[in-house]
Amino acid sequence: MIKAVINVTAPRQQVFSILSDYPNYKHWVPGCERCNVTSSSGNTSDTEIIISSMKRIELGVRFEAQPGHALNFRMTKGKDLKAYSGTYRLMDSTDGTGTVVIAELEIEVGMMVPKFMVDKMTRKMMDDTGVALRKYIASAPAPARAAAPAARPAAAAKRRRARQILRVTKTAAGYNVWLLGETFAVKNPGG
Amino acid sequence: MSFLTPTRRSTATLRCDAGLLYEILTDYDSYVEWLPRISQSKSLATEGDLAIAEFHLANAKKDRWVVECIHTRNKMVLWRTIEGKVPVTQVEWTMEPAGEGQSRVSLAVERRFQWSNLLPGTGKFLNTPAVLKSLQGQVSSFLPEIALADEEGEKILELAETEEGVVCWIRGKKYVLKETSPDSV
Repeated sequence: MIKAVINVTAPRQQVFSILSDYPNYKHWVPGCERCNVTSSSGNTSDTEIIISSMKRIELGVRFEAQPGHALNFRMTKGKDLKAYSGTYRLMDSTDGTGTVVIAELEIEVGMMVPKFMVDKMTRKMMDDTGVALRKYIASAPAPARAAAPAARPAAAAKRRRARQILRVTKTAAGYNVWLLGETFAVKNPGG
Repeated sequence: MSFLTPTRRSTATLRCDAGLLYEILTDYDSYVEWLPRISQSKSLATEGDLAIAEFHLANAKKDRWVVECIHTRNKMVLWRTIEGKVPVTQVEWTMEPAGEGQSRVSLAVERRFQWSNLLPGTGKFLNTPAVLKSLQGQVSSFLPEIALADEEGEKILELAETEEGVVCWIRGKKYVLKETSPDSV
């Protein structure tokens, strides 16, 4: 399972809408030629996807959505891959400027291809998808593009306990400097 | 644990309650202040007991290391590597009371085998005894009365972060410092 973190400067709901808008995958998912929804029930959608990458791959993929939070997907049919599954989990960014997407993807090709090569290819796919998602959101027409949330003021975001940073004490031998847990003795050169 | 993916563990008893340890260990923006070999640290996202944190290593490439974190209040903080070319797959901090005003903290770092581990110096990243020593320093900045209890002499200068902001005492006179932009004179 390869994981990646994608920072997106758009609200979580908007990012989720894009990720769950399967027919529009062809407009932004790298290599996606087509994504047709064949059936849909509640939060579950079955699709047929054609991806042209190193080779042209046709597969059926079932998406199961937890609206606003996560999107799971797994291959339901196809001859080109042995397995294809993953998840997008969405979280609000701590600084309040957008969404953090945690992407997980597992691909099994079922041929005599070393795992490290498959992992490397999968990593590249995820990196490319992250770049494409950010680009797609940035290029979305103004009315469709929700304003990125304003950054949260640091003080409101975090309250910390009081703490000592520095203390300088004069002693008979010179000075003691206590800095963030470490003590340094500075001797009086004339002493 | 195996020869190729060894787990290194260290334990220390610190003079603080588990709550303070938990606060420090879940304050991802502040790791840069004390975790060795880190040049930046940031909380990317937090939701309940889960968090995503990002570190930049203090090496020439400033390598990015992203972890997903699972928290059990005052008991455990667990990280799993999501991204980054670091030789670490998992970091587990556990804490428990160890008598009056003390806590025992354990750190277990599970390493991943990569050929670069054989290079000199690589093993120093998240060296468990060094990390616990740094944690002790960070703890004492919140409890200076312990670290400085026996100190004799005249207090010349003190600097502290408080709810009022950064407060400075010069020979007993108190000043509250205001933050300004680096460009202002």
